[in-house]
Amino acid sequence: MTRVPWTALLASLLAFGWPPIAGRAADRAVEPLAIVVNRANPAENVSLAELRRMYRGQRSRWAGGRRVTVLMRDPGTPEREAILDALYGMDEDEYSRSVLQGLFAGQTVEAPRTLSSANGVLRFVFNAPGAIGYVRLSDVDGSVRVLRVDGRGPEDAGYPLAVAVQ
Amino acid sequence: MRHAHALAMLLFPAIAAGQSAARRDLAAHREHRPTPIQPQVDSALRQHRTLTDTVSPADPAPEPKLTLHAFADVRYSATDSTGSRNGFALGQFDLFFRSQLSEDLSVLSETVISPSTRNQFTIKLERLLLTWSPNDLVAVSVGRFHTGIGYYNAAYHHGTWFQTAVGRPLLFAFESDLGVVPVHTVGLSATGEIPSGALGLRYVAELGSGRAGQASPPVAPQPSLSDNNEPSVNIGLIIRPDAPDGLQVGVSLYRDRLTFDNAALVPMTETIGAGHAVYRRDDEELLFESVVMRHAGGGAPSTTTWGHYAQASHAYGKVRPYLRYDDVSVPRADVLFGNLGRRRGPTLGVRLDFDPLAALKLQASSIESDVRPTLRRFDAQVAFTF
Repeated sequence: MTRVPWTALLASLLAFGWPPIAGRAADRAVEPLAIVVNRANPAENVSLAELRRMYRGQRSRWAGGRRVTVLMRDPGTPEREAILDALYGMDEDEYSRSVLQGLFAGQTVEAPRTLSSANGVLRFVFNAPGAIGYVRLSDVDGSVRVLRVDGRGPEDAGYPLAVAVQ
Repeated sequence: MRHAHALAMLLFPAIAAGQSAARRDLAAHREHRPTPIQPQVDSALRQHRTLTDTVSPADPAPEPKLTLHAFADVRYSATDSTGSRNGFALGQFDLFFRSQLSEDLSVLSETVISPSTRNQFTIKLERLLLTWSPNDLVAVSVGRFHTGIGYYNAAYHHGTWFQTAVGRPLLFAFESDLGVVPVHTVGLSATGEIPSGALGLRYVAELGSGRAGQASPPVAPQPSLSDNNEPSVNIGLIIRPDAPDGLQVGVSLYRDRLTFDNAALVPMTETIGAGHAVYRRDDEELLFESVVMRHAGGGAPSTTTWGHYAQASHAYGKVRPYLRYDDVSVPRADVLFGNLGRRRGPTLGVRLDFDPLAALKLQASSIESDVRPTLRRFDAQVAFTF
């Protein structure tokens, strides 16, 4: 009786990408998330660590002294989930609790503002010199400035912020 | 209608400018001379955004707005202590107000309504803080606040919903709940960043009224403290490095002069050193703190109180089991807290966040003491905010 080489068979299947797991990172198409600021903002680059501090309310001022106004997209949007993961390391519930706790402890000056569309983010950033937000790269227009993150632009390899393409 | 008319009037120059630009581009195209169109597009976009924002509520200008949050909890407690009642009780009802007065100035307050016996309630202003924060290097606050001794006391206040467990660690229990560390003070506080790159250094410096003004009415044999002219001083240093993300390490040193209503008791100095290491990231929570408190002078032998706690929890979705171990050891000779002795023991619980703004906590603890029988206790608490 011939013995079936189960181990080798399983390894071969896995090597060829079976079973087809939905959402497997390598299979997912992603689009960079651009960090956008007002065109009058002289900043051109921000480190990922600085970005985390700004989004968590631990850094409240730009280098020039202007107050940072952090913008978030609506709960449930892929862009927001990508930022919650990359900058906060939290899910939606933990994020809500941490924002409230920051205000409650007096450690955060202002909660992030929530906007319902990419156009809303662009419009807010265009009008508010201290604002910082995020939109898909394809949504960026000339009314805002795109920041490099850790020296990399959104189209560069190794850019750290991306969102799954719907 | 009036808005539509105004919008049309405002949009007309932009549209006209766009048409004019388009005509120029068409002419240039016919002459096979490409012109850079991006600046014109950007200009039109800017005009469009400015115009749409005249009818948009998205105005980022700071304005004084009062934000109100309330925190409350209801619990069922059962203990094996003789004389104590098992049953339901209201926790603290915490009203939190906050307002940004201007770009640099904000105010917050926390008023707590606590149930006492026979359907009576007490109201207490737990925090009132006016903060001036011109940059990230300094934020100066004046008012009543939690001392920056350790991590827990600065991070958690009266809203139990924030806390993983039902209550605070023994080490940072409130003054009215057999706490040994001065939790509240009235005075001046300064905090801010120390430029240090990836190290993420922060400082805390506080001048306060000391323990006397904030202490609860003394319970014999604890002597009654009196106010004096010397402020309490607390300085602290905190490290929040970029990596590993979520780590915080800190130390603080607090010093105060204690005087007594009983003139026969000689004043003494109180020195409190504290250190903490905290890791909070994703689903993990690891807290460890240690405090040493020394009472010296006063004609009595110097005493050194030690206190520690460690707490660990991990979230599995909306369920977060947790474990804490408390150990607070006060020498019997300590003038203020000698009657507490040593208390230590584990607390085991689980928190279920059944709603983003409400949680159910089930907790069992066993605290042994060298001055009274071991206290075994079960708590079920629903904590919420709105």
